[in-house]
Amino acid sequence: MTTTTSATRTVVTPGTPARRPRGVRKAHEGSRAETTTAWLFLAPFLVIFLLFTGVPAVLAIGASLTDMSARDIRDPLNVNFTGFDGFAAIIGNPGFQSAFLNTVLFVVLCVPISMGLGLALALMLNNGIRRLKTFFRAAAYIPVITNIVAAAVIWQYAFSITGPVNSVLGSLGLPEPNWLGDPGWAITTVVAMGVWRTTGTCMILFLAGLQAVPEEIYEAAATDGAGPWRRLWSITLPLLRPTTLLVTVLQTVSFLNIFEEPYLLTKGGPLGSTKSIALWVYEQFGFGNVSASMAGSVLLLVLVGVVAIVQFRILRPKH
Amino acid sequence: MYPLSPSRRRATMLGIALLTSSTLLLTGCGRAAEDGGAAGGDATTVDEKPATGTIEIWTQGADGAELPQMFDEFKKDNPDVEINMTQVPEAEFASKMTAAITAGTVPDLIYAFTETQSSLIATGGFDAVPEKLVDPDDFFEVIWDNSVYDDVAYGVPWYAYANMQIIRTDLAEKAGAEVPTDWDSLRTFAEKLKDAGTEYPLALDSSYDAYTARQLLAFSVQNGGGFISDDLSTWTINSEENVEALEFLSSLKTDGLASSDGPAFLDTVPWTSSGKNAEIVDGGPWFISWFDDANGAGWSDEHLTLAPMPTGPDGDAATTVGGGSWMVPSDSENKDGAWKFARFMSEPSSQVKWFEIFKNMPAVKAAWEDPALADNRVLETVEKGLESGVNLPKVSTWTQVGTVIGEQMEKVVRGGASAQEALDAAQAQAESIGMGD
Repeated sequence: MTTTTSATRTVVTPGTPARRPRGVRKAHEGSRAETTTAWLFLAPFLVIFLLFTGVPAVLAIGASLTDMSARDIRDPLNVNFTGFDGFAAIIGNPGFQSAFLNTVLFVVLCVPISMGLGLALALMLNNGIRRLKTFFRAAAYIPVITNIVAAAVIWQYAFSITGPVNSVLGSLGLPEPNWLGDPGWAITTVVAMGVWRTTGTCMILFLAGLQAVPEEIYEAAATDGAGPWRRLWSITLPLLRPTTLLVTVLQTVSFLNIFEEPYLLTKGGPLGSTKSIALWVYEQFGFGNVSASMAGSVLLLVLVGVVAIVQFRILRPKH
Repeated sequence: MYPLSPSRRRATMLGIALLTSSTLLLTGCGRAAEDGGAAGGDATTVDEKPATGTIEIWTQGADGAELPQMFDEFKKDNPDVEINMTQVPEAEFASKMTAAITAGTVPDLIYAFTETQSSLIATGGFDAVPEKLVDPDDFFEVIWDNSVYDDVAYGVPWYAYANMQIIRTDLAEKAGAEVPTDWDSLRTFAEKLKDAGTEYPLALDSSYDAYTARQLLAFSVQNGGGFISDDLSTWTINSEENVEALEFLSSLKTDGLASSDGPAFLDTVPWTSSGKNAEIVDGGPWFISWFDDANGAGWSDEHLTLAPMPTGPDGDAATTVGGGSWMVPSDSENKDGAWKFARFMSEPSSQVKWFEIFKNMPAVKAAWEDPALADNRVLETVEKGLESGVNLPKVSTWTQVGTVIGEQMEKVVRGGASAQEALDAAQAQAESIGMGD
């Protein structure tokens, strides 16, 4: 949704006729034939999108405005219209509120950490490391392509009270935390797994961004006597701004929707400390509370949309 | 603000139009007169001819893996039948089934554990058991009743079990502890084993969900309590008897006699095998064969003592019971074949055969007379338990309420809440969740 927002502004949008809002450059004045071709290329995506995302989303919004529950599933129209009552109810629900706060916490912790690590790795691979570049690049990316269920089983085993992580800590004379059983440590473990799994994606995107920075600028800056930190601060980071925007939005959206890590590692426990909004929604569906779970997912969608739009506005390139 | 381009404006209009029309559609169709939710389908009659066609079966839990052996038995008398089995993870079964009923893409036959039968039946997606398919009196009452909803039976019981105390004989002897018979002696047993060096003498449920709540229910009934009124109209979760039961149960954990963190279901056998636990309280009878699988044949007989659940302060007995029943979705395309397989599975000979394969106890009383089941200490203990079996609250919201109770129990064990506070909170939430009708 948000990516199309920016696309409308900068790239040609199929089907957009000559009449454009004032202030937008007339970049490509596509002919009718080109427009038709563009639509044809888009058609497969559109069909799949409408069928598997558009229609279900509209139905979900519809269901969120009713009192639908599992007993209605064979006769979904036989329900009462309750308007926004369902939304009011879940916003006032302590379980949803705590899931909301947990999700915010995951985003606030995971996004900066994974982006920081990803950027550091990308810088190292781009400039620092000379040998075994491909090896390190692949190694950092492996968590991204690893099956999450298999990874979670290993994490769960590794971080159990008597697991290998604690054995190592114990043999070093360090305290052995209850990684998955203590609320604070459970959040830490889930955050660690989220970061572990997404740092590789950040790294690849930053690497691509770094390779687009012309070498000459660095050479010129070096000639002018700028040290490595100065070059990082004054050249690399500003030129990486579009990449940073993209990574920030992608990471924020993905962690707002966080589900697999807490579901597989902790089932949302202990004491509900790792239950995210997506997990709460999933549970409500399992309980048969169809309208509550739909209202929850609509709220999550709105949240994702609002956060992404705000980020695009704050971080978009300055002219 | 972004200026709206014409295409975006069109998209917005389209969205609004779709929303409005679906909203209108929905407002136009208010809930019709109460049709009782559970009117799943009509009971038909099933004849004695061999089953034909393809039967799609969805299974859950560990039972599924061994079930194909029974297909072979069934095919001996029903050569023209084809059976396809899909194993669904137990935790996903309810969600997947709900989705399948919605979409109309259901299997022909499923079995549901006692814990989820109420909520599945409440979807209205299952047929009543055809008349004269089986005789209700042949089954243990506690398990037959579990799938009866508004006087209509929706499930043919397949197996039944009752939980028990599973005790490490050697560790208990070394500690000089006797087999617990009531709450006091359970605590004494645990204290003696703790002194003798067992890290966590008792294995209690620590998943803090509906299963943890089910364990509390057994202790509550032992103390004269219970979660719901007899007519299923009122939640009674924060009664004095229940609070006392929770205080007793959680003190075992907070005093270090049981771990707050485990064992998880699949850790149960390893923890007791290694001596980290010395007793599985409220353990299912299947564990006994799992011990042999893990440690070698004959290990269980040598190392384990079996005993019925302890009784409460006033001598009241109560035992967690459960089992599985066959249910046929209303949209099934081969109901005839599905019911015939369910009937076959409830014949005494099949029940005994299945016991030999998987050690699941027969739900059919006649099967217990079979010599194969005589002189078996596991069965003797289970039979005692079935007599004092406690049914879960038979309302469609039980899973949700049970989860709430489980979460509140975690607050007592880990969060320092009092048993009274926890059950008051659970009661309040249960009242707002209701009974699902």
